[in-house]
Amino acid sequence: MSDIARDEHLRAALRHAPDAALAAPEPVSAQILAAAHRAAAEPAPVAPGRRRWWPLPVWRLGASGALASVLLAGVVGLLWHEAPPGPASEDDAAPPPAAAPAGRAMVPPAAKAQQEATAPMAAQPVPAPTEPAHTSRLARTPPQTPAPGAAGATAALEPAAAAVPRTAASPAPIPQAPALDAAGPTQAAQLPRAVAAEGSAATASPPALSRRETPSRAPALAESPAAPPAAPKPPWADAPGPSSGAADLEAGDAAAAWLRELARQTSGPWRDAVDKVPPPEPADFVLSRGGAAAGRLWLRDGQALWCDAAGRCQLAPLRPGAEAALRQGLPPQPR
Amino acid sequence: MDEELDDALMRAFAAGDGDAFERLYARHQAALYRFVRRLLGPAAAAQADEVFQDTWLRLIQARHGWRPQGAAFRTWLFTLAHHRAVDCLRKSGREISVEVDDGETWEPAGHPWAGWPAPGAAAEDQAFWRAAGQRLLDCLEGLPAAQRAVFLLHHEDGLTVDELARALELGFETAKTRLRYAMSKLRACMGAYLPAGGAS
Repeated sequence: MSDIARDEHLRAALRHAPDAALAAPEPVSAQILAAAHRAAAEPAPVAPGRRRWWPLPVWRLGASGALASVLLAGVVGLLWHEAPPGPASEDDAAPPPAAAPAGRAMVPPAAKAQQEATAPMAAQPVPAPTEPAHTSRLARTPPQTPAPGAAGATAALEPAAAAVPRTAASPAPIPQAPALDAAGPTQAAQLPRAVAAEGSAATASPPALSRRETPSRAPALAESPAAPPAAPKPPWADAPGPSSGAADLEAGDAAAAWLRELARQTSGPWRDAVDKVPPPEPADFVLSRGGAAAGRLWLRDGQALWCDAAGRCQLAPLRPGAEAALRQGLPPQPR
Repeated sequence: MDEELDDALMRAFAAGDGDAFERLYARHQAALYRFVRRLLGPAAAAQADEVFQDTWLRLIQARHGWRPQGAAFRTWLFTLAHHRAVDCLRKSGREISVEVDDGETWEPAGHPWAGWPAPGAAAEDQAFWRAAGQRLLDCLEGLPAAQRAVFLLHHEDGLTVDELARALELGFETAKTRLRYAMSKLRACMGAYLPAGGAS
């Protein structure tokens, strides 16, 4: 039995109860009906099972999506054009060795000529299979200045060089990574293509646009395997003479060793000292080539002052305590 | 047939037909309002309007989730009202828990009172049944809310015990026991009052 019989008497009593004709008050009914009509006018919600999980079809993104894509591509392109991305890690940002390995430095004459011919193209990001990844980035980095002695090239670059800070004009043919960073993006934007364009014309000493090319421009002292990795290129490397090789140093091996030590003890790049003239007192070191004084060097106030035969002077700071040590190690030489 | 009509009206209302709701409301509003008033009793009659309105508003809000399968629309509607009324009674402290759900079937002692007059159109009979109806309302007031609910849903709204159990989320025996308790108490309550009228 799934149900219980209803008591007909109780049901009759319910039907005849005084509240049998009771109905909802009219205001309450009006409110309920109004709410129902408002609800009926609302759009029916999408069933959860039929709701799209993607916001819009791709083809309905419209002009806004296309415009956003174009703007994004433009910004990325500008960023890439103005400044290539920096190193991904500190290892990449580490300063490159000043002197390339001997295997790379000793370029055969034919290859050297080819490098000079392709030097202007070094400003382009040409991948070098045998080079590390950071080398290609450095190859696109603008050089600080052309090498000393490249008068033609320097003169040709004067309009561009005039716009750069004075530090950019310092003779640092072998750029170090910190120096590159100090040059800043402004120099990087102003110099590279002009220098690259002049590179082929200035055959005397095209600017060092890449590390591949730098060893071929560096003198023997900088190329020597004994040279310190981070030492800047000393000014005497480009002193006038029949050759810039270490074997031409008339003072012999002792003088060459002393100069290497001096190069090692400089704590910064050699910079032009336009306000300096050769001091009247005797030089601490005289570099002779071909029987003539190619340059003189003074050690004073923690700095090394180098003046060539033409009277142009360059200055480099010495490491703490290096001045006394260098004085003690001065080789005997003709004054 | 009526259930199918209710289902169709509810579907139409869920689809945005406001007139369908008006028809649905006209079909059930009076019975539902009486059910709420009787379930709440005279002591909580002031909350009847609120419970009634809230029941319909809940129905309106749940229109999209309503499906015709399962309980009939009327059962669903009265169940909504029952739950809302029980909440109201619980908040007002008038709900009396029924602790008779022990599975035992209670049967009234003796035979049901047999002095009922036959429902007829006679003027005196109408007066009797009207007085009997008022007495029944008074007797309902004395029932616990749970027993009152099952009696009203069973005798006035036509739910079977099985439907009662499902609508009120009770066991079948529990619903059956509550109904038996309610009917026995009401018969006893009515018999104590009606003999004079029934004898007439």
